[in-house]
Amino acid sequence: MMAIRTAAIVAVSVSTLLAQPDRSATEIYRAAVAEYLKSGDAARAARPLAALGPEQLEPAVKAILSRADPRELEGAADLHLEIGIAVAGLSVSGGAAYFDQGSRLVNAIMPPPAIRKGVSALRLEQMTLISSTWHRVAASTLLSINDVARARSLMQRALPLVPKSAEILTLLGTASEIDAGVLDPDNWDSVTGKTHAGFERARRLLAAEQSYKAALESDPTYPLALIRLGRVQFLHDNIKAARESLERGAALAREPRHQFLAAMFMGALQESQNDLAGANHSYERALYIAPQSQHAVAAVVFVDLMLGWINRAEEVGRAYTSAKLDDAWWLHKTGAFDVEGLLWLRQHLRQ
Amino acid sequence: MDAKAGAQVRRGAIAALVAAMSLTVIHARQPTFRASVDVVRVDVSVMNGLTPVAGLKPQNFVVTDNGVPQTLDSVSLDTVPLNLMMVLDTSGSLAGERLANLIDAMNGLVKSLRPEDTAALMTFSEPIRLAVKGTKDRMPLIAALTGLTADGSTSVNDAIFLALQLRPVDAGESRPVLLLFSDGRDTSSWLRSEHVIEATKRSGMLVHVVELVADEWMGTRGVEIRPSAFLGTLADTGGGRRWFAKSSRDLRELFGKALNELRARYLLTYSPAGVSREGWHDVKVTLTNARGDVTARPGYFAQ
Repeated sequence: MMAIRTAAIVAVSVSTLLAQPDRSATEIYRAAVAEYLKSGDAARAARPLAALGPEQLEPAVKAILSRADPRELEGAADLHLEIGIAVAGLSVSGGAAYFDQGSRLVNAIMPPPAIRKGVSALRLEQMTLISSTWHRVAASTLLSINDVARARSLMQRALPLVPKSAEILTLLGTASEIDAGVLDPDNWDSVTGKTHAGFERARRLLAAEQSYKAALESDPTYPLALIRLGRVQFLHDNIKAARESLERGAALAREPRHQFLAAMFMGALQESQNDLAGANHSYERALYIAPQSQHAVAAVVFVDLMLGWINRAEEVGRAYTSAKLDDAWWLHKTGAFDVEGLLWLRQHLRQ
Repeated sequence: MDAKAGAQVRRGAIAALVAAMSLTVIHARQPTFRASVDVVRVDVSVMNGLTPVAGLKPQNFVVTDNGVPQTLDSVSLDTVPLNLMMVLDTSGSLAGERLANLIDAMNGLVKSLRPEDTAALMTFSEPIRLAVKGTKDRMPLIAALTGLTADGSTSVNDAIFLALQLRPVDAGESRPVLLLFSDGRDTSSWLRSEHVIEATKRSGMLVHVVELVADEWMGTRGVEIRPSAFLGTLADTGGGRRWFAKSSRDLRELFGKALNELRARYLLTYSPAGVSREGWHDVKVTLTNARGDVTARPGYFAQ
């Protein structure tokens, strides 16, 4: 069993708060950032911040922005990201405020254009990488909980820094794909409704396909773009091309979540071709990779049902819905969360 | 998010968040098959306008199974306990007064259940949870309803589908009913509507739908909210009815009507004769020497 810890923020300590009655929010926040930089333990660092919401943190954020210490800015931005990810799973709107503040902090790492000439190319590249990765992770968090509008806003901040980033372009495509998924023409009674929904859905899927192709122009071996392109081709009923893209993407995929998505999308393709045994195999593989994925559970149970394995379908359904909700349930659901980016940011901060 | 809710969320986050993407070995599972259908139960509503028609006898019903007339073993009205699965939408669009009205309406429904009725509660926004397993005890249901919060997107397809899998393995002398409340279209499920309709056909559960449709709302991403064609098909396939609420303030009355309708349904049972055992069976129920509009499941799936 392999486990990747992505965030761990532990219980509020009343004694900690009582021991610091006279400290301002800025002092508490700066101490938390220092602790995070020192230990890398987001849970421990964020403990004193339990009583402070984003609005109370605003003066502290401004203070850190005015100090303009690159390392403190990076630590503060990453701590905001960790808290935002943690809160996003509990409240869609709750995480967004942390991401907004964190985005300002990470943007401030980049020197203003007027003084960039004095900064080495290597350092500028590092800063660009930090900022673009930060925005990528935050956007992927919001996409994981279907907050497409806020995710797009974060992506648009990263895109000018890395206009040809395969990762960002793929995220943009994912946003369009999620938007298209909302529109099911069969869900409308009226011809006008069906027509409008069908047209809008096709337009959004086309935008997704273009984004994935742009990503693959930048990096022809980026597995996630290939896998997502395969999904859109499947939705366009281009089964042959979809299968090729999914198989190529799966062969290139090294990250578990990429393998998960390849298995889910291949399962859907196989199911559409009445290959229920193949679909079952693919979905089971996805469930093996991410046992808590709600999508994988639903997919497995449905195919079990179609195969006549009724008791087994009920068993899986009961086990999933009765289990205690993992605080990180949403990380597993859609496969959109950029865990690799988060690990990179953590690693970079340690260096 | 208001300050109180924000503090709760932060405390929740800072109290508990351990996000893990893990690989665990799942046990290889062997398929098992349910026994074929010996007795078919058909849940039937007979209405004259808005009034349930009472007093019907077995000789008033004509039931055909794949076109073959069947002999009814029993006909019962209002004597069979309910086995109710309440499936509630708690997505972000319900936040505030709408959620308060929903909780109030559901409390009213729970308190109106009879002691012999069993009820379970499933909630869904983006995640789907079985909040309370089937129980005759009303306290856990009331407590769970009181603690409901609304946030996130809508996994209505996956929720209905998983709720159908939770039907009683052996309903015994009870009537399995899925009562769905939702205010919008799906935004985050894996399964599509046709998946859910297929599963509904196979489930044998009676499906009632209460849908909140408010003309002034615009849904997420600029999609105009209109009654969902899917939810209408779902109620038809599940042999139940759909009620529309123009305002969340109407929910209490509508859930009351739904419960009354459930009480006024006939439960017909027969042992299929003269038909093949496996596959889809078309069932038609009509009246003879009586008047009324009949609503029933269009059939059942035998394996």
